[in-house]
This record gives sequence, structure tokens and C-alpha cells, in this order.
Amino acid sequence: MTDTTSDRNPVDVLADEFAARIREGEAPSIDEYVARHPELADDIRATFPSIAMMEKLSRKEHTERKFERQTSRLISDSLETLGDFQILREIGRGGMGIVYEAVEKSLKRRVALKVLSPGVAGSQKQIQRFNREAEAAARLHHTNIVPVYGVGVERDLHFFAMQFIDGVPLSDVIRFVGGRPEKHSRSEQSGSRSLADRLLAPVTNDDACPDDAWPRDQTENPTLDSTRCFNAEGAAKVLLTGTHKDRPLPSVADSESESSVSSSNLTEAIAAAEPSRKSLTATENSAGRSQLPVISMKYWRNVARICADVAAALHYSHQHGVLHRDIKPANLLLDCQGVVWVTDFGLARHEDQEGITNTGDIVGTLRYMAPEQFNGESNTRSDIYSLGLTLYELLALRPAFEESRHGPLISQKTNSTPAGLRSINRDIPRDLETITQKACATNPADRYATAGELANDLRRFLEDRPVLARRATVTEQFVRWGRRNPVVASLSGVTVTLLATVAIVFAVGQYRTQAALDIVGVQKSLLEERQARLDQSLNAERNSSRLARAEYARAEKNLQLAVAAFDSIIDNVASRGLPQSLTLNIGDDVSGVEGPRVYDTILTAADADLLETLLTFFDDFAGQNQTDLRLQSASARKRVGDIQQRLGRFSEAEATYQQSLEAFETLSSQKPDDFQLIITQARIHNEIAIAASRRGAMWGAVDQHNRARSLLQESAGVMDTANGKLELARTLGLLTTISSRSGMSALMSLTRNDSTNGRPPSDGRPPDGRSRGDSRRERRPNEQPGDGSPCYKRPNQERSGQERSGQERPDGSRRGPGPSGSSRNGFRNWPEMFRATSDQSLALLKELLEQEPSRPDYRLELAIAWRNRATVARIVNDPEMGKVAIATAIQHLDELARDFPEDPVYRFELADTLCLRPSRNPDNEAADEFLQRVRRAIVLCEDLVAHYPNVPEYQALMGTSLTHQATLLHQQQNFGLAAESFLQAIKLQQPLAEQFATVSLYQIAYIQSLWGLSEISVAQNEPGEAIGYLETAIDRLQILSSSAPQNRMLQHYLEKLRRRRGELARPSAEDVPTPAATAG
Amino acid sequence: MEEEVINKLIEGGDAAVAELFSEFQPRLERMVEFRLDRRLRGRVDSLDIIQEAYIEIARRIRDYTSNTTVAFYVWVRQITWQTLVSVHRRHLGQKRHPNMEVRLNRKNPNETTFSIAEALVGQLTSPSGAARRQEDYDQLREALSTMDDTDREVLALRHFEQLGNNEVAEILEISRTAASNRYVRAIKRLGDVLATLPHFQERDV
Repeated sequence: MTDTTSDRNPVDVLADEFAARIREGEAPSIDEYVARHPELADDIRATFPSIAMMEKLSRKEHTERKFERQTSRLISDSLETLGDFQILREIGRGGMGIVYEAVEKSLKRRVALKVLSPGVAGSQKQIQRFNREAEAAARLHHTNIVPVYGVGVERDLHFFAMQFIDGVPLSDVIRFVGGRPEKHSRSEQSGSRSLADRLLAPVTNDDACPDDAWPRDQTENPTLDSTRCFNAEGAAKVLLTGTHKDRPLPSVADSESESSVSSSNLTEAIAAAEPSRKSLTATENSAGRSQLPVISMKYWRNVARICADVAAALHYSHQHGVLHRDIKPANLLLDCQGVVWVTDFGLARHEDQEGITNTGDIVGTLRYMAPEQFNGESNTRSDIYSLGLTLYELLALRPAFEESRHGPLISQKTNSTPAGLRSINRDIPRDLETITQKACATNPADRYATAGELANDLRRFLEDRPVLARRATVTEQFVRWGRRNPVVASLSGVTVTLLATVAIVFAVGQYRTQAALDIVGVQKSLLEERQARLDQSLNAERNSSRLARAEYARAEKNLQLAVAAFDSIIDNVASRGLPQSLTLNIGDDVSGVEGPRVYDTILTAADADLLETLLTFFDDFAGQNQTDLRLQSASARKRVGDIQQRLGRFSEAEATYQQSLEAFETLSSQKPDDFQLIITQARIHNEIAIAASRRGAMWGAVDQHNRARSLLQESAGVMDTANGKLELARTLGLLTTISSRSGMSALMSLTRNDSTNGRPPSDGRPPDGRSRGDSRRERRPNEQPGDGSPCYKRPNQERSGQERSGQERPDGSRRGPGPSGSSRNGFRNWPEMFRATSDQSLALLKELLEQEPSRPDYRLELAIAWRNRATVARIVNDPEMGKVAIATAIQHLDELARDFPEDPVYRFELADTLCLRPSRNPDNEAADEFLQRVRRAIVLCEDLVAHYPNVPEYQALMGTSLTHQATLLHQQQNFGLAAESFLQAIKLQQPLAEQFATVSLYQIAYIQSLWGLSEISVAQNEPGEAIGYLETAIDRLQILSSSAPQNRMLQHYLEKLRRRRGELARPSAEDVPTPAATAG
Repeated sequence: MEEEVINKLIEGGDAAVAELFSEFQPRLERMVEFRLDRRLRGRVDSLDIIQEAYIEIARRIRDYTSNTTVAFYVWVRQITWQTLVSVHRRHLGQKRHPNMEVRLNRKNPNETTFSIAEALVGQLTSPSGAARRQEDYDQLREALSTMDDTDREVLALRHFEQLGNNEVAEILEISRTAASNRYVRAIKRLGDVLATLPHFQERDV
């Protein structure tokens, strides 16, 4: 603009210039302006950040709108030919492009040509993906899949050709049957409708939010009336009446005998459909939805048949490794033969494409998308889900999720299940309802495992055989609701779930949790809905004491459900896998840095606070109730501890666990025969131990593990249960690896001073873990804080939280006193002891697996036990043992990953195990082998990160793998590649460290890479850079250790870094050997 | 400057109008995109609105050249605005809504609030952040609604429509100095408002 400046605010003049530069793509510095105009410094600082923000957002908004336009507008005014294709007419358009009917000139065949909008085609990468998937789809040959002939690009337009199907999308059929004839079905060509016409058409929900990316109807062009056999109305008619002697529409996929009848069936069906069309239309015109009664069993059976065919087609494509990704009614065409065709195979774009998230297309696609797909994770079960929703809509004649706004739709889908079909229409067969419910379960694991199973169940329905899908109980439904995909259950998801949980509990009639609701303060709509509901229930409660009692009973039930939901959330987060190898050893004397292993950031502090608030209420409620509820309360308390643990709030976690433990002890004393109560107590002891060790309180941790162990072994009968054995195996594994969590070097230095015996069996014979004698013989000494043993005065002694809690507890009454002197014995022969403990853990798991060989949880635990053994091997310095242990762990995990390819946990654990350092000082051969394994881990991680881009653990593990690689390359003097690898690692680690400032795991991983890079710089004679990296690392570590002053290992590590900086600062820095190069 | 434009318009006829109009087009597109009711998005093409506005402009160009009160762009924008208003009215099926002009005009807080909020919030595109986005959105909407109507409109004109101060002054019918001061004040207030939103502080904007 040519505005004069004299009549303007001087800040405005500068702001204008500043904004203009941003518009030009510059990133002007605010400091520059301040320097130029010191007299306006305050004003500049007060305004320019907002200006930058406004500009950035303005640009973003503009881009998005432009993109929407591109996708909703025609590609060009008129296309006549495109490559080998002669365009005949436009048969429709949608958000992603235009569909033409065309003739492939060389082959003289009629095709449907889909031309992508330039905006959709997007980047090179997307185009490649488009081509790749279209090619994959082109290889599919199935009677119910529209054949794709090929893809091409011409004049910058990307297109693909497929068989022209003279059919109607099921979305139109649904509208018609549901009494909402698609207005496009009027004889009006959409392309010829003027803008004004489109504008003048009244807005409906459907229009505001078109739910199909592609045009709905290939057949609506009046100029081609002669070539088509029917329209949406006809298709609807076929579905409603197209049967013969009560047999559903024949399907091409059926047996030969059936298809031989099919042509006559169809002719009759269509013939039958024709004459009544007028009367149907007349009925509809006169009475709106009055044709609904026409829907009969025939319709349900035809729907089942169609969906069975689609499921079979999906199964076929899944077997060929092709996902559809966008199953929805609009992508299923019903032709005049009554055959259903699946179209647009594998062509759906990923949701993460920038710019299209606000378009109706995405909402349309979102409507049918499985919850896990919101995070970009598509698998065979998400296709099944989408088909389930399609089935739902065909039956209910309305979408399962009607919300048309993006955000609420997602939260609806991740937090609720669609209304029961039979609550919409009592006539819908119960079995179909059950099948649909199973197909579109929120949790993928609750769905049919394959599309083939869905097809079979639908056929069972058609053959009046009992279906395999089981109806979920109310509790199961609630649990499923909570057990959503962990990836989706990110910050907001968890919050929403908790909020909903709170709301349910709130419905009991307490106002107290309002405070909790305020804490969260999100999801207003959800809140309001809940509020309304609970207002109702509150009123009801006041109005009728009888009803109040009923409400009370219901509330009790709800509490149990809420606890189940907590369990699900935590289990879900836990199932993601926890990196064990995330910390590196840079030299043995800093092995202590492995201590502060904190993981997980998905849960937030607000979640924990919310839960705590909720628990207060829980306790009050439980206090006046019977045992059952106290159990719920105790379980919930433990869950709070779990969350705090994962949030890195270890002291709080310990305290919470302690409360939970006391509650369980009380319960247990009342029900001494309930083994599960004892096992849970053991589990809590172990959790306390983990929290303690993460704080660096190793003695407390050892003590708690031993308490868990004693509890399990000394409570009669517990060890006869599988869960008891599993928990003991776990306990032993944790005991053996406590070294890697808390710095066993210190422990070992202490043990050298101890001189009593009590050595465990060194024959490695796997004990059965049942006999008291056996267990006592092998039991680690009980290093009880405060028992007078001098070792507790050692530097690693912890005085805060943990020990307090440990000391406050009286010596476990159930635990035997142990052999006298046990508190001081045992350490001399620690290698044997470690070995024996590991043996015992393995033996227990093998025993469990013998009884139930296919249990993946046992198999995983066994693999982890082998991995723990590798840690033991490193501690006892037995490279051969380590080699075997790692190889066995990898083998087991390989098998698990192979058997459960859809579950990322096993791949994660595998990658994690691959990163395990074989021994303290591996020889060259071992180092080479390790490098190979690390490389494999990197490949696995790349895959995980690509599939789950938002899971921090996967990124962290990838960073660690890269750091391992870098360290190994460094040792091979391959500085260039090592530096590159470190930089790649840092690229992942830095954002994690910055995003999760309190999670020391991420901080340390980052710090270690910085140090590694620093050492490379030393090796390459760049002392300046080396010091720079090191100082960044020191800064980071200082912040971290100041937040955990009691953690001596951090202090130790910090000292080490500072020392190194001191060395580097001296002129002879190059001569200093580099720790990274000497580390094993 | 404006005289030159007017002479050109008088002498050059339709071709001159078309030429000048095509220069304005990108900014007009921005204006339409920003002001178009979101219910109409995907249904109404902003280019069609601009096209329709152009026809109206060509028809009424004499009115402008014979009685020039504002800069040509400001006039063109006004016509486009009126077109937009009539499209809204037609499409949303409202009867003669007396407040229609106002609804789209600066006097209506909600329309601008809505668009700004949407734009700000639009930067979170990950679906899993949707719930959080909703939260941000509500917060921001509330925050913006506390701002003075004119402040809000000034921000929209300056940043979303990328107008200069003089144009803003003419549109708001205030003096240039007042417009300039208004703008500086508005941006400061926005800064204050944003600083109170926790999510925006965290974000690298």
C-alpha cells in the first residue's frame, strides 16, 4: 500500500513493514527492530509477536481455504482427452477430483476416469504413494472389486482408470430407503447446475458436510439414461424386494448352483421392482417416510448378503496386502445385477495431509474411519470397522455417528459406541445387531480378526445358523470404551475418558467432583451433556427415595466400571512397551545414569490430579459401603499410583501405593483365601520398588522386591496359581535387573565388604518356586532399612519418601524372619546368586508356558526374563552367558513379532532387546555383531515411528538405537558416520527433551548423544565444538539434577561431565582418551 | 494516485476495469474466504462470488467514476461485500434479515471472532489434538469476544485482508491517524489476550 506515514502511529509504520516482510517469506527479527528504534522498544516487543502470529495464521488460513477451493472446484473447465482417454462426460465430482466417463482409445473400452485435483495430488511423495497403491489395487481381481486398469499422469493431472460400473453408491441407496431421496437423483446433471442453483438449494446437514470424497452417483446424467438400467430408486427397490422365494439376492460370490439361478432371480427381481416403483414414489410423496414399513426381512437379508460380499472382497484384498482405508457407503456401488462393487481401493489419503483437515471430505471420511486411523494407523481391522459402520448405516438408515464437526466426531468415535441398532428399529434382527457391534468395536482387538470372519458370520446369519459374535455385556462395553487405542488415548483422549468417568461417578449425586471437572475444563459439549444427564438423575433422586436407592445401586455399579476404565487406560499405556535399553552406558562408573528411567508422557499431571480428586470421593463412598467397594477403591488407588509413576512423580507414587497397599492388606486379612489380593500386594511392592529405584533409592527398592517375593512364596497356595508364579517370575526378574536401574556397581562395592555366606545354589538348577525351603535357600538377603546393617549407611542410602514408607511399615508379618544373619550375607557370591535368581525366573515361566504354551503374555515375559539374564551376564561379566541370553530373547521376540504382526509391542520389545549391549567390553567380533543388531533395531524403529508418529517411546528408542550405532562407529574410528548418526539421534532426542522437560529419560538420552558428539569433535580435532556440545549437555544435566537433588547418580554423572569439560579446556585435550571410545 | 486510476477507468472502459480488478483479485479472494460463512464452504466457490461481484462492478462503474468518495479498491471491496451478503442471504435461506448487513459487517462480533478463532486454532491439525483444539477454540473465542468490535475488525482487515492503513480508515470511516492508533492498540490487546492463554504460550507461534 502507499500509505503515507506522517499521519500514522510510528509503531504501526514499523508493524506494516514487519508484516510485509513476513508475507514475503522472511523471518524478520524483533530484536532488529528494537535495535533500530530503541525509543519504541517496549511497543515493539508488546506488539510484534502478535503480529507475527497473526500473519502466520493468516497465511495458514489462506492456504487452507485455497486448498479447499482447489479440491471442491473443477480441475479445468473442460477436458476432452487425457492421454489415451477420450472423455465422454463428467459423471460427478467430489472433493478429491472429478470422475469422467471415458473411452480408452487403444482398447476401445469404457472406463471411469478419476482425475485428482491438483491440490490433492500434492507433493511428490504423495504422488508416489498414490501410484504405488493404485498399482497394488490394479493387481486385485475379485468379483466384487472394481478393477483398476492403471494410473497415469498427463498435463500435470494425475488420474486412474477403472472399469466403468453402471451402479449406484450405497450412500444413495441408504438415502432413498431411508426416505431421503438424494436430491441429485433428480434428472439434473450436477455439472450443468449453475452456481446460483447450488446456492439456492437449501442447506441440509448432508450438504454442509458432504460425506463422500467422490461423487455419489455415476448414473445421474440424464443424457445417458439410455445406457443405464437403474438409479438410486431402482437400487433401493432391488434391496427391498429383490428376492425370490425368500432367498436373498444372489451374489456372484456364491456357489455355482446359486449363480445359475441368479439370472432368473434378478430378472424377476428387477421386473418386480419396476411396476411398483410408481406406487412407491407416490407413497413417498404423499407421506414422507411412509415407505419405511416396506422394509422387511428381505431387506435385512439383502444387506447382510451385500456386506458379506464386501467383507469377502476385503478379505481377499487383505490377503494380497492391500488395505482399502476408506470403506464407506459412497465407495460401494450396487449395479443393476444386484452385485456390489468395492471401489477406490487403497486410494484414500492419509489424514495427516496438511490443509485438508477442515474440508467436508475429511469429515466424510472420518465418519467411517476407525479410531486408530485418526493417528494414521490403518490395518485390516480398521477396514473391518469401516465396513461395520457401513453395515450399521444400511440397517439403521442413518449414520452411526451423525456429528458433522471434526473434533466432536473424533471424540465421539473414540469415546462412545453407536446407539444400539435395535433401539433405532426393533425389527432389525438381533444377530445382525450383534455382528455389527462386533465389527465396529472401538478397540481393534474386539473386532473380527479378519474380514473373512465377518463374511462368515454374515453368511451364518443368512443360513440361520448361530453367529459367532457374542453380545458384549454392559460392563464389557464400558471397558472397551476405556480401552481405546493407546495412541489415540493421547493427552486429550485420556482426559476425555477420565472426564467421562468422573461424570459417571458424579452422577451418584455428589457435587464435589465439580472441582475436578473445572480442572479439566475441556470438552464442554460432553460436559454439558453429562451435566444434563446427571441433573436429571439428581432430580430423580430427590424426587423419589425409591428411585434414589436404585440410583445408588447403579452408582455402585458405575464405580466398578470406572475402575475398570482406569485399568484399561493404564494397561493400554503400558502395553505400548517400555524402553529398557534407553540409556547407554558411557563407561562403567556411570552405569548409575541408568537409574532415572522415567517413561511415558501421555498422561498429564492434570489427569493425576483429577484422579486424586475423584479418589477422595471414592474413599468417602467406599467407607460407608461393603467390602466390594473397598476393593474398588483400593484398586483405583493403585491406579493413581501407576499414573503418578508414569508421570515421574515417584515420591507421590510411592505414598499412593503405600495407601493402596494398606487397603489391600486390610482386605486380605478379611479374606485370607483370596490369592489375587496377595498377588496384587506383591505387585504393589514391586511398583514401589520401581518408583524407589527410579529415584535412585536402591536399597528401598531391593527391600520392596524382597517383600514381594516373600509374600508370594510364603503365603500358602499362592504359588499354586499361575498369576502367583507369573508375579514371582516378574519379581525375580526385577530383582536381577535392579542393578541396571539403580547402579549395581555401588551395590557391588558394598558387598565386597560383607563376609557372611548363605550362598544360593550355584548349580543353576531351576527351582520350582513352591517349596519354602527352596525359596529360602535362594532368597536374597533382606536388606531392611533400619535393621542395623552397616551397609545402609552407605552413600546410596536414601532418606526421603521411600525409606520413610519402608520404615513406617512394620516388618511384614507374613514374611518369615529368614535365616539369621541374612541381612549381611549373600553378597560375596553375588554372581551365583544373580544367576540362580535368573534361573528361577526362567524356570517359572517355562513351567507356565508348558501349561499354556500359546499365551503371548507368558511368552513375552519369558523373552524379557532372557533379556534380564543378559543384564545379569553383564553384571557378572560372563559374555558367553550374555550372548546366549540375548540370542534367546531375540529369538522369542522374533517369533512373537512374527505371530502378532499387528501388535507393535513385540516389535518394540524386539528392537529394544536388539539394542542391549552384549557385555561390558565386547571384543571386535561381538561389537560387529552388536552393530548389526543395532542396525536392525533402527530399521524396526523407523517402521514403528512411521506407523505411530506420535508415540514418544518409539522416537526415543529410535534415538537410542542411533546413539548406539554412533558409539559403535566411533569405536571403529569411523568418525564421519558416527557424527552423522549422533546428529540423527539428536534430531529425535532434542524435541523429546524439550517437550518433556521433566522426564529424565529423554533428557539423559539427549545429554548422552551430545556428549558422544562432543567426543567425536575431540577426535576430529575440533575442541571448540567439543566444548560447545559438552556445555549444552552440562546445562541440561544441571537443570535435571537440580530438579532431583537427591539423585546421586545424576550428581555423579554431572561431575563426570564437568571433569571432562575441564580436561577438554586444557591444551592437551586431544590426548585425553574418549570415554565413548573406551566404553564397551 | 486515485485520480490516475479514475482517469484510467474512464478512458480504458471495460478492459481497464478488468485489469484493475484482476490486480485486486487475490486480496478480494482473501476477503471472501475469510468472511464466507463456514457452512457455505465447499459449497460456494469464492471465485464465483468474485465473478458475480465483478459483473456488478462493471455494471456500476459509472456510479463510481462520476462520484468518487473512496479509493477504488475500497469501492470494489464494498461491492464484493454486498455480493457476499446476498449470497449468504440466498444460500442460507434467510428471509429479509434486517441485520444481515450488520451480521457480516464489523458491528457483529461473532462473525469475525469465529473466523479468527478458527484460523488460530486451525494450526493444530492432528486429529488427536482435536479435543484440545476445541478447548483452545473456545478459549480464544471467549477472549476475542472481550475485545472491542472495531479492534477486532481492524485486526481482520489488516492481517487477513491485508489492507493498508488508508484503506482501513476509509472502510471504517475514521481518520487515518485514528485507524493507525486503533490498529496498534488492537494488536497490543491481542497480545495481552494471547498471553493469558496457556496453550498459546507453550506453542511456538
